[in-house]
Amino acid sequence: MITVSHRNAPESLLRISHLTKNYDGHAALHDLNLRLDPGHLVALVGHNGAGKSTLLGIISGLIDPTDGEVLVGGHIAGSLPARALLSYAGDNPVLYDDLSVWEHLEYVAALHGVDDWQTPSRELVEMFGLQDRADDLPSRFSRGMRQKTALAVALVRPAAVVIVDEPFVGLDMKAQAALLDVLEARAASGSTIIVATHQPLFLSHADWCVMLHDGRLQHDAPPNAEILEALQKGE
Amino acid sequence: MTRSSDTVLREMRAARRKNRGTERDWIDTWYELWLRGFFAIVVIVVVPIVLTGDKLGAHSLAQFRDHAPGVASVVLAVALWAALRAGAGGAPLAPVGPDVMYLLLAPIPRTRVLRPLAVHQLRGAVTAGAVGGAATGLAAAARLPSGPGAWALCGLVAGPCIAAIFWGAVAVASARRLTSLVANGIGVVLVAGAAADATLRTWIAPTTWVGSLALLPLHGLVPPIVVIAGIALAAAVPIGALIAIGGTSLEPLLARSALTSQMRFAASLQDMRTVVLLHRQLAMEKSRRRPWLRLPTRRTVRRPAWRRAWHGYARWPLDRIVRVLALLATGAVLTYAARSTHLLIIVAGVALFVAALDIIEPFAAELDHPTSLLTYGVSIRAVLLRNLAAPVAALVGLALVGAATVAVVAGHHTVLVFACAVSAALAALAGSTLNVALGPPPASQLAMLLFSPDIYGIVLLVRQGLPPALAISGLAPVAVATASGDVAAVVVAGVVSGISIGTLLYAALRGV
Repeated sequence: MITVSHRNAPESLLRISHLTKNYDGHAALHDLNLRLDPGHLVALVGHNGAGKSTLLGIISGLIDPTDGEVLVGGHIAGSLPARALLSYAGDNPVLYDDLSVWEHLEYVAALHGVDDWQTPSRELVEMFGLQDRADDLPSRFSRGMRQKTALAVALVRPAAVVIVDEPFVGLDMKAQAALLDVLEARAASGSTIIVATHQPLFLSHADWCVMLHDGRLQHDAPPNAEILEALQKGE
Repeated sequence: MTRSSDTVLREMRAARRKNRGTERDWIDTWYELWLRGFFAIVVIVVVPIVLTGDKLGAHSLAQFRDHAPGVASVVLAVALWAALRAGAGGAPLAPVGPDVMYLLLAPIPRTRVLRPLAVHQLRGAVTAGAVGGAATGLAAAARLPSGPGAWALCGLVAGPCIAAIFWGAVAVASARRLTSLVANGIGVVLVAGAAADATLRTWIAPTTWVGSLALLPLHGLVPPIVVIAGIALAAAVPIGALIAIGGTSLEPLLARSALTSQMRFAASLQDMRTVVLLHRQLAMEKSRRRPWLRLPTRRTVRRPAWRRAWHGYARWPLDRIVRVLALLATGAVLTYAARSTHLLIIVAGVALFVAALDIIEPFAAELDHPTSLLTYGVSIRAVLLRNLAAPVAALVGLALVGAATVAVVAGHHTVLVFACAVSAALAALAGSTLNVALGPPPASQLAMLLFSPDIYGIVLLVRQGLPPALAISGLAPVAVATASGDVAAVVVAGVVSGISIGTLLYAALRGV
C-alpha cells in the first residue's frame, strides 16, 4: 500500500541492518533495515504496538536487539562513542526528585563534556516556560512540567542524533510550538532528529517519515498524503 | 575547563544529598549503626536459641563428619544455580530510573556508575553473611565439639565467603549477560559436581571447597589446601563481578529500577500482596502461553471460578511451581526437625504461609479487581467463597499426598500424620487468605487519635502478625504429639482445622 524505499547513502548517520527484537517469542521488530542521513527531521509513526518505542530503545542502547545491528555514526548502539553522539528522551519523563531543573541541566551537560551549559540551558528554560520553576525540585511538577524538563535535559547538549518518543503528549500548544522550533533548528544544523508520534500535525514539519506496522518497515520516504490520512484515521 | 566525569558524578551525588536534606549529622550515623548492631546482636542471640539441641553422640558425629561436606556442597551448588538464574534475569543491581537514563546513557564508562552500587550491595551481603555465620556457628557449637569460640569464628569466615560467592555469582551472570540456558547449564554442572563429591567423599567440586569452610572446627576433616582454595574462590568471584560489572545490560536494569522502588514502598506499607506481585515481575515470572495441561472445552461452564482457578494453575511458570514445592518441602522437613528443636515450628509455619500466598492466587486476583466483582451479577461474597475452593483443594490435596508418602515410608502414626497435614494446609491457607483480605494496615486517623502511638503500634503489629501466627498454629499438633501423645494431637488438629475453616469463611464473607 505504501512506498518502501531503501536509500544507499554512505554517509548515513544511523544504519539499521536486519534488526529483530523478540519478546517471549513475539516479534516486536522483524528484520528491519533502515538508513537515516544527517540533517533530517524524521517522523516515526505506526499504530500502538507497532514497535516504535522498541526501535528507539534499541537505537539509544537501552534495549538489546535479539538479532541484527544498529550503528550510530558507525559505532554500535549503546557503545560509549555511540552514546556521545546520541540524545534520547523517553515517552515517560524520568527525573531525579532531588535535583532542581537547573541542576539536571548542569550535570547532564557536564557529563557530556559541555562547558558552557548556562547559555543553552537558559534558552531552553525560557522556551519551555520553566524560568519560574527552574530552581524547584521536580517531585511536585505536573506531568506537562516534567515532560518539559525532560525534553530540556535531552536538548541541553549537542547531539548528532536526537530521538524523542511521544514528546507532544502532555505539552501545551506553546510548548509544542517551541519544541518544534528547537527540533527544526537542530535538524537544520545537521543533526538527525527522530520523533515517534501519533500527531498528524508533526508530519507537515517532518521531511522524512518511517512507518512501522507490526514490527515491519512499511514506509521509508518523505511523508505523503496516504501516511497523513492513515495517521488521521488512527491507523 | 571541562570537569572530569568522576568530579561531575561526585558533585551530583553531593547535590542530591544536600537537596534531600540528608547531610547527615554524626548522631544520625551513630544511631543507624547502633540499630544495625542491635539487630545483629538479636540475630546472634536468637538463632542459637531457636536451633539449640543436644550434643551429638559419637556415632551421629561420625556420620556428620562423613556427610556434612557433601551436603554443604550440594546445598551451595543449588543456591549458586538459583543465583546464576537470578543474574541471567538482571539481578542484583537496581539503580534508580534517572541513573539509567542520564548516567548509563552518558558517554562515560558504565563501570563508574555501577561499581559503587555493586560495592555497596556486596558490603551489605558480606555483613549479613558475617552475622548469619556467627549465629549459625554458635548454634552449631551446642551440638558439635570444639566450643562456641571456634564455631563463631568459623561462622565469621564462612558466612561472608558464602555470601560473597553467592552475590558474585548473581553479578557475574548479569555482567556477562548469561542466558537462562547457559545459567541452567552451569547450575547443572555445579550440582552434578557437588553430588559426585557427596557420593564419592572427594574434594573436587568448587562448591565443596567453599561449603567446607563452615566445618573448619571439626579437626582433621577439611584439608588445608581446600580451605585456601575455598577462600580464594570466594574472593575471586565477587572481584571478577566488580571488574565486569560495566557489561550489565540496561534492559533489565530499567525494569528493575522501577519495580524495586515500588516494592520498597509496598514493603514499607506492609502490603504483602503487592510485594508478591512485584516480586513476580522482578523475577520475570510470566504465565505460560501454553498451559501444562489443557482443560477440555465445554459448551456451558458450570463452575467458572473453579475452572478458571485450575486454568490459572495450569499456566504457572516452572519457577513458581518449584518455589512453592520447595517451600512446602522445607516446611515439612523443618516440622520433622522440630521434634528435637521445637522453635523450628515457627520457621516451618512461615514457609507454609509464604507458599500459600501463591496458592491462593485465584482468591487474591479477584480482590485485586474489586470493581469487576460488581459486574458479575452474583453476590461478591459468593464469588470470593467460590474462589477459595480450588486453593483449598490444591493445598490440602498436596498435603494428603505428602502425608500418604510419609505414612507409607514410616509405617506408623498414620492418623496423626494425616491430621497434621490437613491442619497445617488449612491453617496456612487461612493465614494467607486473611492476610490478603485484610490488606495493608490502614492509616486510620481515628485510630491514631484514640490510641497512643505505642498502643497503635502494638495493634498494627497484632494485625500484621495474626496471619502468619495462624499458619504457624497449624503445626501445633506436632508439638502436642511430642508432649501429650497422638490422641491429643489429633484433637488439636481438629480444633485448628475448624478455626482455619472459620477464618477462611470470615475472609471470604468480609468481602471487599
